Amino acid sequence: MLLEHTLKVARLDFMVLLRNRTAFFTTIAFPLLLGGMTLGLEDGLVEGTPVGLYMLTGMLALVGFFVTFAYLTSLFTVRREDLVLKRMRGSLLSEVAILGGSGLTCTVIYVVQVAVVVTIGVVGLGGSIPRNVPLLLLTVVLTSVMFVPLAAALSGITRTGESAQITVLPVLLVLAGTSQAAFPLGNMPEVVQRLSAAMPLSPVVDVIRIAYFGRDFTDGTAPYPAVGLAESWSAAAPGLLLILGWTVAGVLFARQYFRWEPRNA
Amino acid sequence: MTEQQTLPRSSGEPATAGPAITVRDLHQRYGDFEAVRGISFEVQPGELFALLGTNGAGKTTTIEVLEGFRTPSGGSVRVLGLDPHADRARLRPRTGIMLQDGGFIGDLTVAETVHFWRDVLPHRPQTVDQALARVDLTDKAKVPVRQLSGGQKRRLDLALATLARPEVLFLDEPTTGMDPEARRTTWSTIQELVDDGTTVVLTTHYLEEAERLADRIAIMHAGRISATGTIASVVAERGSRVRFVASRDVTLPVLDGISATTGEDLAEYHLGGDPAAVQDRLRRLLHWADNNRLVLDRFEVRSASLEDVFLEIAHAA
Repeated sequence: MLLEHTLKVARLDFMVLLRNRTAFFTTIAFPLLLGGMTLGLEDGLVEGTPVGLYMLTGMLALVGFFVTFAYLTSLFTVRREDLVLKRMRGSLLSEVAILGGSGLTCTVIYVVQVAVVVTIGVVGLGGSIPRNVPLLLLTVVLTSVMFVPLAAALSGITRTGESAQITVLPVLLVLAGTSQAAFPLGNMPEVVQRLSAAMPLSPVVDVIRIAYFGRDFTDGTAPYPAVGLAESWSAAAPGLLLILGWTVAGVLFARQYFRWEPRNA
Repeated sequence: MTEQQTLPRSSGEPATAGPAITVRDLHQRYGDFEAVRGISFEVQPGELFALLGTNGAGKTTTIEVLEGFRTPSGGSVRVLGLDPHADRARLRPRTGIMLQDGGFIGDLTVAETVHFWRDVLPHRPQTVDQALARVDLTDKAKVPVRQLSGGQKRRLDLALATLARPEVLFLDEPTTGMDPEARRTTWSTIQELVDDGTTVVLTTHYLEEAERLADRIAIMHAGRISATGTIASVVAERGSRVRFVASRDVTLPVLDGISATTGEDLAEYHLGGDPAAVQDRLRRLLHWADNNRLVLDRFEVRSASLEDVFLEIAHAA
């Protein structure tokens, strides 16, 4: 019943998403733009890797931010204010199916987007096939799962669909800035680096790069040591645990801040 | 009504003996504001119970507690013998809810909306077409919900609330925003459901709606039930009233402690619900008129109407 309901909500959401221009832009068009942007970068090396591929792997993490976190924050807010969440909660759908169904749609889109952006990297930038595809896939799925309760929590303090842009933006700036998605933080003071490494998007970027390049980006400074398939899993383990930790934190935040009914009710 | 409880229902759970709904000393607070201040009532299986009251009387809060959206601040509530909040997973398949407004995804068409909500049910006693025909929305099937009028949205909402043929149906102001014809159609639809054995709790501020549909009513004011029972008994309790033209310089008598209310040039007495007392008080009023050689112009004795009772309660301080 739970799985069936989750799938039905996910299918409904996908249908709605394709009809809504803003939703389509946030989850389909803009992420593709982010990935495609890397094609225009000049040659050169960052952290021992080509600029284009370094940026592209960072964008893979940011795509998840937009597809799941930014989109769901706005979706949950709009649905709460329109009383759709209330109607759903008054039905046979369980709370997990309602929120998880929307999360599932985003997760599927995110996985497809990653496949497309990686293809851009391989074909357009002459990159290699990702060294550890299962690890990359797992990271993408876990990242999307992590963003669902975090988005639910943020929607709770967001007044309207429009103001979601205002509440999401500072989160974007902090997460993009601390994650090394676009630029390394190697020259920053130790404390900034440590704090940054603990933020939710940082382990995503690290593990995606480990999976893509087969090098341990969490080990010291460039050039990072090459890791084999088995070693890449152990190199990724702390990052994956941190993602799970943020998922748990997100659930706790959501319990505190998420609202089923309009804020003025 | 009771034999109809054995009709096969959406859930397959056995019909409950005793009241379908029991509310005992329900209190509901929002911060410092107490929206419901200790109300009790029961609804029997197959009955239509209407909660009347002005805006802010506590009707919606009460029905939302019954629907399981909030836990009571005090008192207890049972629907089909279950706690509507704690047991909502068990109760949901057996209840239908029509919210006061909203809850639609505007980008979906009417048919898609019905299809989705039908699709999540374990049993589907109606097709999408049947559900739409029942509320007269067949010709709107392909229209996006955002383009519907207020009254059409209410009809769509009714179709969704009754998709599973629920045992208990909650309707929060079901005909608000409807034109008179749609209102009448909706009343027949609700009446059919009641005839079929469905227990219905309905809130409304249309007195005609309660008069048409309700087996019993409760009139709420400021979080309390001010009057409850069948419409006939509620009206009878408020008793008969007599009215006549009286000039201001006449000192009107006090009848068993009942004094007249005067407005414009009319005087009115509320004579109570006991027929013998009413007769006695009328006799004394006429004696008084004779003794003072007055002719009571436009003299009129009548029973209270539901509207009288409603307005009296609404205007009570």
